[in-house]
Amino acid sequence: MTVPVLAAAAVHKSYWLGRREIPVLRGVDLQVLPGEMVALLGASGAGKSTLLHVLGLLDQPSAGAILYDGQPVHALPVVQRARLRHQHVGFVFQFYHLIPELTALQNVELARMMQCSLFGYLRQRRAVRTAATGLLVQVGLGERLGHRPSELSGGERQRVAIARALLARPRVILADEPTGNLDSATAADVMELMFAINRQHGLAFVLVTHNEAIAQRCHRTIRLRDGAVVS
Amino acid sequence: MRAFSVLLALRYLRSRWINVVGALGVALAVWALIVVMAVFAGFIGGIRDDVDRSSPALLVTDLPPLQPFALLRPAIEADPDVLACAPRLRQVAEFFRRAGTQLVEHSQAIEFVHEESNFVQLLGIDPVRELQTTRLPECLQRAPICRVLDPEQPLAITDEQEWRGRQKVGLPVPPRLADFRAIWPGLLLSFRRVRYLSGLDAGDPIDVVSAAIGGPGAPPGHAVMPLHKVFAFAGVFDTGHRMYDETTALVPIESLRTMLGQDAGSDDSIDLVTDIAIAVRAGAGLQQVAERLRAAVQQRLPAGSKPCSVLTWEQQNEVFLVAVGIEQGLMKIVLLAVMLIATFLIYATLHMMVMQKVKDLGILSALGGTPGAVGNVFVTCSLVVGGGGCIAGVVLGVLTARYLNPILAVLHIELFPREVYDMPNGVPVRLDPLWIAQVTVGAFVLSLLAAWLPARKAARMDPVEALSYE
Repeated sequence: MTVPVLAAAAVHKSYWLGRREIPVLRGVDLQVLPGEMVALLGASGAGKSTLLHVLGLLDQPSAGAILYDGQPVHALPVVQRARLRHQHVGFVFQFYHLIPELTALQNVELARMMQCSLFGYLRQRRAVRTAATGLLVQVGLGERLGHRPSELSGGERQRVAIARALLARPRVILADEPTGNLDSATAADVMELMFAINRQHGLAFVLVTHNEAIAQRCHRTIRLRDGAVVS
Repeated sequence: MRAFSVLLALRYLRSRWINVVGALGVALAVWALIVVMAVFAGFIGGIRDDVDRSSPALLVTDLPPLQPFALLRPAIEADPDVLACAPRLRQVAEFFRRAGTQLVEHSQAIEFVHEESNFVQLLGIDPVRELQTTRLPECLQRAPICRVLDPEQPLAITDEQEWRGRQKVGLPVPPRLADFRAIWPGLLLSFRRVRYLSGLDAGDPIDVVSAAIGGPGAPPGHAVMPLHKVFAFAGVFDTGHRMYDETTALVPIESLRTMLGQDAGSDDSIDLVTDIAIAVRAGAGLQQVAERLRAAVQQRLPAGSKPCSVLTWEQQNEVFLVAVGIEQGLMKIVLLAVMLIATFLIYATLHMMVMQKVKDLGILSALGGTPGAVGNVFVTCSLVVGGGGCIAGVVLGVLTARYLNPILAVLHIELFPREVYDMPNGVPVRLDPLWIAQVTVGAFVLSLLAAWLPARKAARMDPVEALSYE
């Protein structure tokens, strides 16, 4: 049997508002197989983003476990969680989240600087630049390497963000409504790009979306209601 | 240090010129710390040279009254580290100058009490021995107004000088110089006092008046004996140590002894001393020698005498040197306050940057940045700002200190007015590499401290909150 690249086992997550406990996730079970594209559907406030954050080790579950390649990782020390986040998952956000001071190319290169020492990075700088340029060409931004995020359109920014997520060669991409802020034509382009990447790189995707049509094209759809998986 | 911490810090700084203000603050503080302290060090170095010039390496003092040099000298010279010793006799006196046949009293403006009053500390010296223990020849060479004829015999007066001096004030003299023999002992004043005594020539008589307890026939402690003696002005000296120069007149020790009733000619007289100046072999530990000498001298003193002291040249001028040291310390504190302000400037800028960059911090976490590495972005910022400012400050400071006098000349700035400070070679500057190193390390440490709180704030940021921060 194939080991899931990413799994959640009975994950609970609550927030505290003063003395009142607000449960967001109530025992979510989820398994993502290598190369699988999973759509995560649900109404606003259903806990989709929280689940994504917990899956990406940005947030810790109140109870339950997160497993990468079958290994529990949610309780590791903060430094190791950061390294796993870097090696194992790549994030794509609705609002792109690029660093405004950096050019498109630098934003992508940044992904390789996170776990490298300064001198280690300087030694492999040419290789990183080549790889980052290659990815930007692949997402169709070969002509816009030197542009700042403020000089790029929304679709272009999201392509930069996707290239950035790919550079560190993760096993899973966690995408939080990647097209939620784009017009439909651009959104379709970006989605096509992600499906292409899924096919070419064999990368697993967890795709938070509202769009049923997009969900239909994924290998599997998971619906979340009030913090629990309903189908 | 992770690569992104450094590269991102440099990008952040490049788009925020406000950080230049912090760097300028540090540069200014470092510059001031180096230049002001270099001038101070030069100044103090000069003062210490001056004090050193006016003081022997060691001085035996606090002796009981009526101590003969002959008794103490063997005890001192027996020490292997002693090169030479010289007797000294101190006596406070008042001096008067004759104009015609009248004595002149100087006006006594309170602020010029040293220079213009008649009070003087007579210091009786044996010129031959004194030459071996202090830098007396140098003091004589430095005096700019007139020089003594013979540095070996600085207190000697020629027959002609005294003959003319006597003529000048109307004292009877033989018509022919050849028939006259000089009898007045010489007296050296510092040029600081001589400037207030216009028309004073070598050989001019100076009346010295003092008093002592005891006297012919009276049991010691039962009578005050008025003392008077005529000296001849023999020349000027200049140690550069203002306080010493303003108060001291050098006279031959035998003449002062005679004045105090210990005439070398009489049988029951003693070679009276109040202090003994000592030259010490180079490299000998002054403190140890002082301790040995104190014990040796004390043994020779009458039983039950109060303990005598042996002071190093620094101890002899302790109050003065400590005062100068305190001034330097205060100046350091003021300049360190400037440095602290610069540090606060960096802190404020960094804090602002952290608040502006909350979302970036979330992104960095999502990309796999550890909290420490995220905080290091701001530590790097601070080190670049503080370090850049520090390096600029050091370079500018060293250059300014090195070329201070030409710079002052071009700008027509007189840092130390000529009337107050005697600095023939311009403002003295002494660059201390150790101090520069301390300032540099200090600036870096303060930059790190300035970064501490903002970096901690950045490192502790919850990435999920940061990503949704608006």
